[in-house]
Amino acid sequence: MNEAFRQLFDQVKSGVVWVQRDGIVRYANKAAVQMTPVMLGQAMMDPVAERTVKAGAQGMLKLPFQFELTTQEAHPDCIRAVLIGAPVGNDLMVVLNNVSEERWYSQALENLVGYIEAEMAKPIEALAQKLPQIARIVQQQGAMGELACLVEDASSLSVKLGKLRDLVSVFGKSAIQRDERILLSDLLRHALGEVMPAARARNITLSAHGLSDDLPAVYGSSHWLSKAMSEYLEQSVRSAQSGDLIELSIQAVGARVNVRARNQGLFVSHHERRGAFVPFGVGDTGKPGEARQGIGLALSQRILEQHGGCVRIEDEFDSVDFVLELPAGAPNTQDAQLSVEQAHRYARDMSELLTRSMARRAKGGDTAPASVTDAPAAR
Amino acid sequence: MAHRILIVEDQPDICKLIRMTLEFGDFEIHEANDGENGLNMARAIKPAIMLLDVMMPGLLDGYQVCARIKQDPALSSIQVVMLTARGQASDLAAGEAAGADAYLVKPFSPLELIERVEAMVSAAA
Repeated sequence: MNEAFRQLFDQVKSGVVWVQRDGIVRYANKAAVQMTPVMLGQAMMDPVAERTVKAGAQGMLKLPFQFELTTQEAHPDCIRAVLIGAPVGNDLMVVLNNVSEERWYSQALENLVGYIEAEMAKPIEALAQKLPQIARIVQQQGAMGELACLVEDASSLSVKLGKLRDLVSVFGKSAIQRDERILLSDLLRHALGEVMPAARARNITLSAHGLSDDLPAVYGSSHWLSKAMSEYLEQSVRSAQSGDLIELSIQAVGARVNVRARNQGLFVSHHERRGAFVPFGVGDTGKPGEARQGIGLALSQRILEQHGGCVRIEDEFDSVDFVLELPAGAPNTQDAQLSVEQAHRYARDMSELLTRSMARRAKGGDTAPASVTDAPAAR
Repeated sequence: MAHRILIVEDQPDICKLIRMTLEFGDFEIHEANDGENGLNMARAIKPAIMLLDVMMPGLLDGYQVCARIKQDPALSSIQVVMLTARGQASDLAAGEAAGADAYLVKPFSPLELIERVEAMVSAAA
């Protein structure tokens, strides 16, 4: 093995063990030594690794061959090993990755999501419901200063916790799909009502064109789509500068509808664009204690994805568009169960339909229904 | 004279079953697979009755097609039967608000469908 390979393998995170065809180790990088006991000039010490290398060298295995090892610890980690041919010559290589370590990080996140769902979702909801009442009591009692500030802080915290709970809900196991019929105009009006206070506070004008009742209906969860729309508008307001004008428009394109929030003169950097979709993120250059973007568009994106839509940021020459896209009308899925049930009903009524038809023919083609005298609506 | 019926339904299986049912009567049957096509076809052929699915993909769902039919003086005489898997009171109210003449909840009885359609054309005649 030449020096270039050695330098390359010293830089990689995976464990790399280079072995001769007789099983003798020629090289092992630092990561490999931490995962499995190896000594240069000897066979790999783990019996499974040793046997596998031997079998590979004898041509008994089809390479690449994947197998598992464990670390030599009281609580052993699981190592995913792959036996491959060396890049030069007839030697072999074992590449090692600590699966337990990877699982630990993903499991920690899953545990956090589970914890928030199980332990925090209800208290957050209860807090959000009680806070307006508490605020009223504080106001009635004329409490000023510390208590009023405390209620204000609690309200702000409750909003943030609520968004965290929502994010966990949409990333968790709870199904958010429904087939409620929602008018796009209602959805947008509701979201505008939610974000207007924040827009006014920052002297940002939101103008809406084409907001009529003739807009297409969308089908899904009214609760979650309202949140998606509010988050989306909130993000476009948050990205705007004080005094900016955001023009909202709605376009129907094919079987989809686009809500477009256009901000003339706004520039969104790559960093901001990426950050907008990453919850809580500040990017690689973030400093401890730095203000976070909040949930950003991640919540909106996740909800819309589950409804067959998406949210994106589009650059024009002199403007930035925040675009929310949803399929118009009902989901384009075939309800097989309903078709089967309808076919059963048809089969059940078939003999009566035939009898009826034959009786008509016998009468000489009289098409007027004998049993019906009026036209009642089926209500 | 065969009365003209327009079926607007996005699910081909259901559309076929409706057609097979109506073929037991004396009707001229037309089909459309979404709201926009349904509305355009209604303008073109002026059916006596329109069997209209509520939940359809696209820019116009059944309620919107029905409302446009009933708002258009040239089309408002078309009798609209809404077909839907949603039988909640709010759905029926939405159908009523759109001006629907009748409402059938899926899976419906084909016998009931053909009798209702025949009754409607007889009453209109």
